Order: sequence, then C-alpha cells, then structure tokens
Amino acid sequence: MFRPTVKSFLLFVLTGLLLAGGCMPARERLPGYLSLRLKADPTSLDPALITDVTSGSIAAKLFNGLVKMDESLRIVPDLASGWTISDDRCTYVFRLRGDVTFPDGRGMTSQDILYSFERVLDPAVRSPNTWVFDRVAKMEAENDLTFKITLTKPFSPFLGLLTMPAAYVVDRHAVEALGPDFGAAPVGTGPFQLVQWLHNRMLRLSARKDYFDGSPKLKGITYRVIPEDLTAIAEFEIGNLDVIGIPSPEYRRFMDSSKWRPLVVSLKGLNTYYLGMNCLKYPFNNSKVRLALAYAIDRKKILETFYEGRGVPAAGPVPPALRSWPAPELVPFDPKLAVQLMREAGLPEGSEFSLYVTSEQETLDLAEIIQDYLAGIGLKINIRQLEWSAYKAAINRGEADLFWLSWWADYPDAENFLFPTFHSSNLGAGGNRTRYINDKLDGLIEAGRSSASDKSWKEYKKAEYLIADEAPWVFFWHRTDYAVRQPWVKGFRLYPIYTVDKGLVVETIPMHHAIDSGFGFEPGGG
Amino acid sequence: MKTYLLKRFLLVPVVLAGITFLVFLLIWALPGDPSLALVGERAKAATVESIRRELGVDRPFLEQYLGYLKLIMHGNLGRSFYTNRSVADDLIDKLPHTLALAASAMALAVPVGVSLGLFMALGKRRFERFLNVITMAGVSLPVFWVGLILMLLISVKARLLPPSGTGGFRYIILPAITLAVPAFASIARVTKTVAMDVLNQPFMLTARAKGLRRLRVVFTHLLKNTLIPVVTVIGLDFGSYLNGAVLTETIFGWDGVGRFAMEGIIKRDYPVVMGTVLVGTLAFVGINLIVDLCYAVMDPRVKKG
Repeated sequence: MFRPTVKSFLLFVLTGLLLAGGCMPARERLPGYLSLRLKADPTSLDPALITDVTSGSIAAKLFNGLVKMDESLRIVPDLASGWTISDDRCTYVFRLRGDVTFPDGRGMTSQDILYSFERVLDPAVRSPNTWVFDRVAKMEAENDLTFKITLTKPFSPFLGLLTMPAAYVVDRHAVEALGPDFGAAPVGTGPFQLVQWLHNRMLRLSARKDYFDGSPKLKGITYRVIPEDLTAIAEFEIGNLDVIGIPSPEYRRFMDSSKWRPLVVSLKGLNTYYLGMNCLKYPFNNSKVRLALAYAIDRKKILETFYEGRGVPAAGPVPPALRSWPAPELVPFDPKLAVQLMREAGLPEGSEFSLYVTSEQETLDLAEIIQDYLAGIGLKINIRQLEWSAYKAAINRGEADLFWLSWWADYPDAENFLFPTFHSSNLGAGGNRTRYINDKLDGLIEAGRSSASDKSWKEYKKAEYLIADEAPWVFFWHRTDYAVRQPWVKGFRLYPIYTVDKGLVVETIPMHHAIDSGFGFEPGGG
Repeated sequence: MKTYLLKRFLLVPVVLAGITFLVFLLIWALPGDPSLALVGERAKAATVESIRRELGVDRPFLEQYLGYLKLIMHGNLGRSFYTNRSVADDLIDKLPHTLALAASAMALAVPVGVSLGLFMALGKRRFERFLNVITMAGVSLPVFWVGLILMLLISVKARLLPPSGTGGFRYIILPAITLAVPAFASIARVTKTVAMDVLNQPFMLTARAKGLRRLRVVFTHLLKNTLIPVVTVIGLDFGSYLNGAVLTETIFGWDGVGRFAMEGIIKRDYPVVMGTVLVGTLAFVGINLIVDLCYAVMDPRVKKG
C-alpha cells in the first residue's frame, strides 16, 4: 500500500531535479568578459526610475547623457560635442555628435533627447528624479543636431546634474514598444548593450563594436547577483569573480594577505558620515548643545580604531575632493569643553535622548561607542534600532533626537552636499533630515547656485564655514572604498562617482586560463 | 473519504482569504512606506505624494484590500511597486528553483533520516550516544554556519563544486545538503522515538511470535506504524521549504521564492509580499492535503473515520 506513494514521491523529486538541471546547464566562463558582483538585483535600468548606485553604475554603461564627468570630475562632452552658455547663464545650446547610433543602427537626434527628458517629467512615468530638471523653463530641439535648454534662473550645478542617469537618453522606439517593461530591457546609445538579465541571478552586457567613442576593450561584462558577502569572497578567491568591493569586516583579511594586498585599489569616496540632530527639537535647536556633542565624541580615534583608518576625518559636510577652499577646522575631542557648553545651554546632566540607527551590526556597534562617549558628559542615550524602511520613515518624519546617516554624491559638486542637506526647502525626505533652518545659510547657498560656476565656491565656502560653526551634524568621516582585483584584470580602478565608469578601459588578459585549473564556470541561462 | 476531501477543497478559498487579509493587515500596520524605497535619498514631498497616490497606498486599508482581492480574482498578482515587473512572472521564474531545492533536500533527508531513526531504535546501544550527538547537532546547528563551512571546505579548499549560483545539478548539491541537515536530524529523532514506542506494542511481539522474520517485521509492521507521525514532520518541513529557505537561498545565491519574499518585505513591496504569501499558502495547503492522503493510504482507520 505504501509503495505507490514512495514511487510518486521519487518521481516528483526526479522531476524537480530535471527541471533544475535540464533548463539551466552550467556554462563555461566567457573569455574576454569581466565578471563582477552585485549585492542585489538592480531595481530597474530605466534611467528615469534609477535612484540607487547599483542600477546607476550599470546604466552608465548602457546609456549616454549630453555631457559626462571625466576621472578628475571635469564635465566633458558625451552626446554633445560642445555647448555654449548665454551671457545671462540661462540658455544652454548643445551641439550634438552626428555619429551616435542606437544598437538597431538608428541615428540619435535631438528629438531623442527631448523625448527622454520630457519622459522624466511625465507624471505617468512616476519618476522620483524630476528634481533634476527643476530649474528648466524650456527645452527645444532646434534642429537634428542642436538642443537648447533655457533655465528659469542661472544655476551653476546644472551641467553636473545632466551627468546623472535621469538625464540619460533612451531609445524612444524601445520605450514605446515595451512600456513598463523597458526597465528590464533597456536600450540606449552606450558602449554596452544588455543581452541577458536573469533577475536576481545575473546580467550580461556585451560590448558594442560601433560605439562612437571607440569600442570597449572587453567583450562584455557579467554581473552576478550574490547577496552574501562571504559567498562573494569565496567566488572571488577561486577566480569566478574578477573584482569585488571589500566589505568592512573583511578589510583585514585582504590587507594582511601578501597575495592580495598589491591588488587592492582604494578611493576616497564622495560621501560624508554624520550624526544628525533634530534641530527643530529642544535642546538641539541650540547650537551650543550641538557643538557639545561634537566635542564629546573622539571621532578621530573611532576612525583609527573601530574603522581601521578606512576614511578621512570630516571637518564639514563637503568631501575634500569637491572643496576648492581650505577646510574648516576640525572640532577636537574635548569633553571638558563639552560639559561647559552643556551647562551654558542649561541642559541638565542625565538628560535622555533617542539615537536611531538601522539594523546592521556595524552601525549598532558604532552607536554603542557614541552612546558611551555621550555618557561621559552625562547624557543618557537610548539606541533604537529600526529596520531600514521604518528607519527611513521615522527620520523623514523627524521622530528621532539623534540619528546615524551618510550622504553620498549624486553628482560631484559641493552644492550637492549643501543644498539638499541644509537648505530649508528640503526638510525631511528632500535631504535636510536634521531639519536645520537658517535664512542666512539659505541665502549663501542660493547665491552660490546662481553665480557663475567658477565663482560659486566663494559662497559655498562661507556656507560650509557657517555650517561648521552651527554644527547641525556631528561630522565623522568621509569613507574610503576598497576593492580587490584578480591579477589578470588590467586597467581597473575605482571612480569617485559611478557615472564616470563607462567600462572602456578595463580589460582581462587571458592568463587566468593557466591559473584556473578548469574551474572557471558560472551559472548560465537557458 | 470523499466528503472529507471535498470539505478540504472547499476550505481552501476560505483559508486563502483569511491569510491574505491577515498578511495585508500586518504589512499595512508595519511602520515604513513603500514609496520611500522608490524615491531614493532626495525627493520632493510632492513626488513622494504623487507616487503614493499612483501606488494607491494613500487609500484606506479596506479599500486597498478589496482592490487587491479584485485583482487576484482576475488571476493577476499585480506588478512590483519597486521593479515594476509582473509578480506572477517573477514567481513562475523562481518557483521551479524553490521546488528543485526543496525536493532535493527532502530526497536526501527522508531516506537518511528514516533509516538512521530506525537504526537508532533497533541498533546496538553502543552507537546511541554518538548518534544522539549527531542528530542533536543537526537540529541545532545554524543553517548559515553549516552552509558557509560546506562552501569553505568543498568549494574554496577542495574546489569540487561552485560556491554559489542558480543552476543545474552541481549548483544544487551544497544548498540541498545544507537544507537537509536540520531536516534529516529531526526526521531521525522523530522516527526513533515513534519506532521505540511501536516496538513496545503487543502486536510486535505477536508478529515475532508467529514466526515472522525480523526484517519482515521491521518493514511491514514497524515501518508502517512509524511512518504516520514521520510523514507529518516531512510534510511540515517540505511545506516550509516550498515557501523558500531564506538563509540557504541567500548564502548560496539561489534564486528562490524565499529571497524574493524577504526583499519584498524589506522594501514594503506589497504586491510581492502578497503574491508570495498566496502561492506559499497554496503550497502549504496542498502539501497538507497530500499528507492527509498519505495517512489514509497508510492507515485504514483514517479512511473509515
């Protein structure tokens, strides 16, 4: 009686195995392809919808904008071969290259640019990036190779904004044919095109031979989605991945290894880590209390010990690479002065405050260190750990007294670390999560935004010094990123911002066949 | 039996409605907002509002829930808030992987677990302590530890199998073993306990007394009477594996339903969460039905009752 059940069960199991085995044969690693890791599947590769770095870094290889950023963060031509800016700094006229094509061979014209930009502003597209075109009054395709943008007011960071994915040019025909599925099958003018995307598993890009800026040295790029850090390291160590970013807990392992250390690359990132205070709430509406917190925490020591020196101390919000003026003075560690400032502000000892953090272990460890330092000046800190989505909602609502957060560049301009984060028009979700409101500062930032791009730094300098004095953030550090490559990867480097990397220089040299003992394969599709 | 089955089938929609309501209520009550995962770090309040409106998450709870019911009545699971892809398509893509992993794990765990359990019940006392330690370890070792150790030894050191990826036979072995470890251990322990209980029953003595050979006694009388509770355990394990094994899938980069559901929950991607819950509930109900059928096949008393 029991037998038929056993049989059908085994049959079931076998079918399962065959299903898995039959349609997904293991495939040899493709020569000439660079194999990279993604921590998560890209949300969407539709430039209008991209807000995360993962998706943005892939989109940078599939699309082009009018202008792009070079390695030293200068704005250089991309689809536009040149541009002129009117004397009132409100009208930008771009001359387009005539040799740009989409993968189907259709030539790109100013109509495609107009279509792409207007699409971002179309409410039906639900783009979160409409702010990129906030100051645009009018866009015109004057003729096939001339595109004109008129701004409402002079706006010095404007060209920088045009380097972002939101301003990439999409293939109108593909968008119209695919509708909402365009994000999964994107088509642009970039050096690579997407040939395969097995969601949550892998993406494959292949190089375009007819790319207008010279075809890439690689034949293509394979991105593998590997959520777990340790798994990614295992894949890297046996040579299945060509480059990986080094996760913080694994930093020592690579730096202490004589094999890997010479292959580690690093880059001072465009980011600022900070302890935010709710400046609308008592007692953090008083700059003395805010400064007291900064004096009370030995950030340099935390950076050197807990973070193993993987960063530079921050004196203000602007990362050093974007600052063309001398940095404000670092607030030293001085708990006595902190206590004095607290007394002056009338804040009694033993006051209790909440510190909101996300649920990663590293963040919690850091929060406990901060808690300990603040206990040293007699403040009681209650750490509240929230899951990411709840954390974000709470911070945007202004629920927390204190919170731990970082700000990363959208585009490399000092303005990107001042306007969204400290201007009163961006309270909450807009970026100013400390809810700092200061008319004088608003004025300085606005003046910087509307002056000529080579002069705006003077206003930004005043703004940053004012922020350093007022201390709505306790500035911690600018984090350095580390990655490690295989010996057979040539020309790899980290870029200050992901949009710079079009994947044109990096290449793999065939030596890995020798090292590899025939183990190089990866999950293919079928 | 037929009326019993009919009753069970009629209950399925009620269970589904109850589960969807509960889960919908739970994710609705959670703090956090699906629009926040979409807008990134820098969004105008107006953008957030218009996205909330577009997604329909600004509407009252009951309206949202009824809207969802209407959607699934049309056989549609909606589109992910986040990726804008069809949830049904994504699930169809991932279900075979989850099924393959669950089936392979059970294919390892059931024979090993049952025979080990029988061996522990019948075998020499000398192995008892050793086997107790083994099964206890199997039940208590965390999945991520077992998975990472297997990966280190078999993939990195010995280079026998790929460390991760969703693919064919070579890719499924490590995650299947990892998932099978706690399952085989719990099956073995249950089998042992039940078998020892059955061994003390008078009919076992009768069977031996009427001259049946030892093996025959084991296979017809002992096994048959032991399997009913064991099948329950197998059913529960298998049912939960069909709902995805989040940790195993994450460690081995296996593209299954568990990871999909997990990411949906983190991003408050309601259609994804609801879709996976719906399919998972169906799988669980289905497995339970099969388990019940197995009871009937194995134990005539169930059929009559």
